Amino acid sequence: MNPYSDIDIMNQIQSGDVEKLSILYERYKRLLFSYFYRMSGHAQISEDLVQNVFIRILRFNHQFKGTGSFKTWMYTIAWHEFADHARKNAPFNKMTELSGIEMAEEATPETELDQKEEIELLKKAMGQLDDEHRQVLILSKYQEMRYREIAEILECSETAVKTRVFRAMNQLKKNMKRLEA
Amino acid sequence: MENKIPEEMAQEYLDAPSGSKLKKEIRERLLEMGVDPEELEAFDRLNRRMDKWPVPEPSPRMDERFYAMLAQESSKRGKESFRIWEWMKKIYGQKEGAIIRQIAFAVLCLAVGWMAGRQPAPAPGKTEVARLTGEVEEMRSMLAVHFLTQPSPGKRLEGLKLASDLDHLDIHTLNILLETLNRDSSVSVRLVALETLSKFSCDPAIRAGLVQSITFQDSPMMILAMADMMINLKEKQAVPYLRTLLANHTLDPELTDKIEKSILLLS
Repeated sequence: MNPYSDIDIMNQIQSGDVEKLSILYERYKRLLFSYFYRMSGHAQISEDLVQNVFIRILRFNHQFKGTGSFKTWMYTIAWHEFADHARKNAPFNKMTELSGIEMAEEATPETELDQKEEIELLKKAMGQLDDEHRQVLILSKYQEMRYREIAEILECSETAVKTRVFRAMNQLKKNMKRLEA
Repeated sequence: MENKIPEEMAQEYLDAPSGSKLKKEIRERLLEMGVDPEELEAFDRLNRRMDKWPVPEPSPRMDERFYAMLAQESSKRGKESFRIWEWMKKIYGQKEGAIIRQIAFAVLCLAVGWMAGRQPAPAPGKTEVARLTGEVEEMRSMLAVHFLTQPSPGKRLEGLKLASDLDHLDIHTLNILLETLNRDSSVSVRLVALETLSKFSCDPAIRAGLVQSITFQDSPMMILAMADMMINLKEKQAVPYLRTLLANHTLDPELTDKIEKSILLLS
């Protein structure tokens, strides 16, 4: 058995070796950060939410049974964390943070500007999706999640996930068209 | 349009790799079903645009907060791994940089004191020496981690040098080293990280980390170095990872040849 597999590390945490959480943190911190960043559009909020997910993992580690994958369990927690955040705060309506955007190295000033504008539009269009559509799109497109895994998180069938992703894409396309008009 | 388009099949079209035979086949089927080619183009454009959406790096503060939380949790449960660091923070109430300088000074003093203490008789007890050695090692690990998380590649190389002088790697240092090997923006730093970790490759867990790192690499230099290392280590577990590398990347013919030969040698 790989002593560094997610499930084995969770077993060790459950046995009281809480420092092993650092392995899972290093393994997933960027992935989780990017998930929250794309969900919220804010780096600082995303960092807070990553921290909260790991606090929840520690607090509720005994609820992980090891029958499914750790990653799926972690994203379920992440989704609840984001939903809580969204409930407590003003409704998500725009993604305005541009400071963190890195442009392609060879971009000229003009193409850089175009690219910035394109990304800004995309962020706005994503922000106009409802949370569930944005979540399914981000999980499938950016978070290396398979439909089977997303289906586990959303407690639905793979086919339903595939359909939801397509509907989210379709809605996003319409949002983009409206914003570009 | 959305009434006509079969959603599941359309999603399969979007998921298929660009330019692949599968994508062409699904496209043809969708067109036969009366789907507007313009509509498919629009989806493709959106997909390409989505690929360009960058995510910034999280700030170092995220790590600091996580490790502070873990230290607190750990101490609550009677663990003492972060004892020295927390103790120094409490005593000095200072920022990280100042503490690091003081740790460096303390390491120096301890090293000098230890060397001096070895000269006259009577020699210290074995337990005392082991305790001091452990503390020096712990401080060196902390310094290595500090340098490895700096934005400057030069500093990270210093961190690697410190790490390579350690007798063993604790979990936190190992994680940071594997992170450096997998994701550092500088190929030179990644190459040195590989060399550093190879010194500890007799540990099966570190060996596993090295093997898993193969699929993270995209630089030809790193891929070559990793393939060579796997052959030196006679690491058969690397074969599926090397195959994944071949399947997922468009590599130049020389590199492909090298990987195929490595797979043959290890199989």
